[in-house]
Amino acid sequence: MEFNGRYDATSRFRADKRWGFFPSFSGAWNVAKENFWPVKDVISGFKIRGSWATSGNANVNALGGDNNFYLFSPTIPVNQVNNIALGGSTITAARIPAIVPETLTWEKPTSIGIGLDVLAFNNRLELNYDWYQRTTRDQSGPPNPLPEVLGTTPPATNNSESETRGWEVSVKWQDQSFSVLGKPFKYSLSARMNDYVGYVTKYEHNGTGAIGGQWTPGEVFGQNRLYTSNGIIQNGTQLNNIVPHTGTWIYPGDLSIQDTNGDGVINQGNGGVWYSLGDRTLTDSYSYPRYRYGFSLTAEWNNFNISMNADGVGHWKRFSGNQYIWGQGGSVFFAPFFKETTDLGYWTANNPGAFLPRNGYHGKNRLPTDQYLLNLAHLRIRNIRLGYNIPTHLVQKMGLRSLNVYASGENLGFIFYKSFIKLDPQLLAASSGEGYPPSRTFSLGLNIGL
Amino acid sequence: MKIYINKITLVLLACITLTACSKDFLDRVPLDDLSVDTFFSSNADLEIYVNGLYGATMPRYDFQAGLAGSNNKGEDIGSDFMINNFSPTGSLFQQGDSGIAPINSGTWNTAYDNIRRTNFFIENSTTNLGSRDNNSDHFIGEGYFFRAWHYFNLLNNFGGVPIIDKALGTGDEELFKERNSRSEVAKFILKDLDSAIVNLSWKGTGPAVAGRINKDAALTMKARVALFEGTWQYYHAQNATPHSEPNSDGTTFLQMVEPTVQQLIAKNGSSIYTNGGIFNEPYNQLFAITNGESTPGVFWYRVYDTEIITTNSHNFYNNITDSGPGFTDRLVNLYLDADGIPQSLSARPLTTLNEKGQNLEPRFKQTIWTPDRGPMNLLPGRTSQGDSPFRYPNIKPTAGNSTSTGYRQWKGAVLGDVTRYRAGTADDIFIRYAEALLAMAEAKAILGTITQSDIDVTVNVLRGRVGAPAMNLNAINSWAISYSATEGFDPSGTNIVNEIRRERSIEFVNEGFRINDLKRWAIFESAINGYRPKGAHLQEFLDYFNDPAQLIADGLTGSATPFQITADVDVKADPNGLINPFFKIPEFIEGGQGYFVDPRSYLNAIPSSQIDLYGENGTTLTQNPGWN
Repeated sequence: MEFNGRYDATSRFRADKRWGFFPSFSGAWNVAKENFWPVKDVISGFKIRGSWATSGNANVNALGGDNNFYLFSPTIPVNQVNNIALGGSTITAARIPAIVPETLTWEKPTSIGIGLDVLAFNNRLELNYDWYQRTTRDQSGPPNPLPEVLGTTPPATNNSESETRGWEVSVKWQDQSFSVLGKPFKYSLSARMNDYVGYVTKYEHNGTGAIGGQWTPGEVFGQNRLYTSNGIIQNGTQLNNIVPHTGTWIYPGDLSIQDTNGDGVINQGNGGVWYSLGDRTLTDSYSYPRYRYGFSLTAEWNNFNISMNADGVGHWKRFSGNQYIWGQGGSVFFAPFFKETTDLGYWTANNPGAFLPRNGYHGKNRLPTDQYLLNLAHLRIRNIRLGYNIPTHLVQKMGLRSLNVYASGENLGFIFYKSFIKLDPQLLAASSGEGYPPSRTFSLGLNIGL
Repeated sequence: MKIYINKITLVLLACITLTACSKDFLDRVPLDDLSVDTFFSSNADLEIYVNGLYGATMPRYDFQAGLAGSNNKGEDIGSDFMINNFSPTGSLFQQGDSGIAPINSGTWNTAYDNIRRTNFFIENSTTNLGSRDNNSDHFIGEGYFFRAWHYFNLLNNFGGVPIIDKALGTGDEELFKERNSRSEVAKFILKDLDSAIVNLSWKGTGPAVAGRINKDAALTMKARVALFEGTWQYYHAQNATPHSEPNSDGTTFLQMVEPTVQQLIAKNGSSIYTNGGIFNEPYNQLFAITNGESTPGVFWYRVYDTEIITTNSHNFYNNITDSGPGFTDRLVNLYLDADGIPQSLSARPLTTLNEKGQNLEPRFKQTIWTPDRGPMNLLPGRTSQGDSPFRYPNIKPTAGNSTSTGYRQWKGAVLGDVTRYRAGTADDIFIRYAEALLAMAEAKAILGTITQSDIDVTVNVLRGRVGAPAMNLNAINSWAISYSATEGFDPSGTNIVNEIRRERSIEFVNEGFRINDLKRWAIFESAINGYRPKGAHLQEFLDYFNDPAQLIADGLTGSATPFQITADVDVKADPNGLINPFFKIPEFIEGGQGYFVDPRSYLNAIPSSQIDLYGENGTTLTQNPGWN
């Protein structure tokens, strides 16, 4: 049993909003150690854990993170402007102070955690399970929208509450107890997986959801909102039957989008609110890695050892309209520039079955649709390492204490990966494919102990 | 026990000390920023604050480090005077557009952001100021000028808008203020400009030097606003459009123009730029000036000087090259001939570019390239700069950069050494005297009070500097001519009203006035709808580019084949022989419906997010006519 209390203050908030008290509490009970535990021989450890913790977060995101230390103080920023010359020299310019977030105070995340640790079969089986729920009270969500006649960003307030729920499980089996061909054989196998979802539980303002870009109670973070594609328009007849996008021209080879709300135009609705999505619908796909999992294996026998790690993501779907994915630049005159997309094919009258719409950087074909969602779920071999310890009597003849050779490889490839563009998933997610993927490395090595 | 008590004392002391210390510590303010409580206590404070307002008023100008960069050659794109090479301007091509208001508007947001900055200044500028002098007056005047500038931008785009005259707090009721009427907004702007005029120094005096706003610029701005609103209300009332202002014919605004401009005339007289440079073209070379301060008739300009601004520059190199927008037949048809007679009444031959150059009034040749200037790459100071070796603009899209109409810009040719046009030593002009002069002529023509002596101190000052025939009121009144709204005229207006319109269109072409002129004259749809932009006569281009001997004689060193033009394949003419730059687009061939703008396009939509936010609050922000 443990109890903790903190009383914190920060200069980032106004004097009367500055202090916060953050207690926490945790406890654990290893039931297997109790006398009444009936199966001590089989299950030697059975620990139930529980925790309740509060903390304070002063690095409220909406404020620009760590860089803004003096929120309570209205100051006039001054800077040099090098591209405007007045009165014979470039200028120094002062600007209006931001509105002081007078009521802003600590965000107060509260976590509840439940855990279970099991040790069984003579410590050969180890199982850990954790479940947590983190509720961020007084969260500083997007500032409550105010009419733009205000002329500046409304100040941050503690206007929201969100929750994250997650779990993590890992299982490990290890055995050192038997031998193969008279030599001891040791091995271990482990598997692990975790997942979480976050969602808004309260957002002060958005009762009616009139305005876009703000949170809505019930909104799940990272859930994709997509247009539904009817596929590529093949001919004039189909063209006459589609619902047009506002303000653009559609030709065969363009994408036909479903008018899911039946209002006769394709648009994104009157706001970013999740129930006001225009023709976009809320899908059951998520844009961040869910169900992350991994496997590890190690084994040792007769001076040989091997280890292997694989990891992956069970569900991860993102849309990107970026040129690194579509293989075309900013102008219709630009030729496709990647082999990958050229191989997928751009629609032409002679290539009606092509995967991609007609060539050209057309925004209307880059609307986030289900059709061109990148499926980033994968399993990849992170590394494999093989080693051999040269037997001691040989090593000693050479006057050394130990000698070990090994070969290893990193990033060895995917066991499965279904994205239509096979660039590294982390790279696709972080920068839509722009940049260098993690490199594949092979190494051979020699460890000498003197 | 004694030791024990001492320990307690120590702990208590420590608590007290630490608490006291931490209280101070947490209340310290940053040392590198200035506190609102002490700011605006000196002229220097006022100056650096208004310095920060300049950037937002310079939207036309692009920068880029080094030699590459942009230019201001496309100011009239999106009007009937200029087109992008081969694609029709989207904003004039609205068939089937549903008229659903966009959720957000950058124009709306940016204007109110800037208005907040000016409001904050106007509210606080004198709070800590000990004593005011001419310099403080000047900077305070700049603040008013900028607020007027941003409200005028809103008036242009949205009509009447909520007038906010202080930096609002988050609880202010005015956050949900209803829209003021056009007239209220216009009067508010004019009042701010009056405050600016009273406080600002004349150009070249006090702080009003080297690129700063001055009284001359504010007076011209006042003439601009009064003319804009006056003509808007006058013509929209006359045509009974949905954009008219109830119970107003705009004359009160029109009457404000003359007294404003007379103040400028009293100071500046007929003093405008007359230095014609190597080609003796003073109209053209006005836009190549390097020192706005000493240039007569240039009131507000942005300073470019590579000695001062070392990080960025403005590139004028592309201003006169084949690199995009071209002028249309609509513009060219407006030029008077060299005798001062409209082309429809003229007996002069006007088919080829050279004929036009020789037989139209001088501003044509100072605005549009003519082949008798010789191969482009032999222009003084531009040799070996990669200009084309041809005397004609390239009109064939596959042969490199092109000017699809054949009417290539020449206005503002920056010649001379490479540092002038590539590294930005030419200043960029925002506000010039000519605008005030023509505003007075236009307002008085509409009011029916214009006289020959008015014309002599306005229009004829501009004509005189290029050697064009003077405008003669009696002669114009005697013309048997009909004016068409399609060409930007007022069919029911007097000859002089329409001739002033012509004068303005020619003088200010590609300075970004055309679209707003069509809107305030209430002829936006008449001028735009059905228009299929055309260029120059095709035949002379065919004759030139299909004659390798001519190309080689002009200095072509490689093969002539890529430049040869196949009519109806590379380019195509309409039945009158004029280049049709959009001949591949069905809407723009013979019988096609051409451009189309809806009557709602006079004004932008009020962004729907703002209407919704007001609605949530139980207040109303009305939408503009025709928008959903």
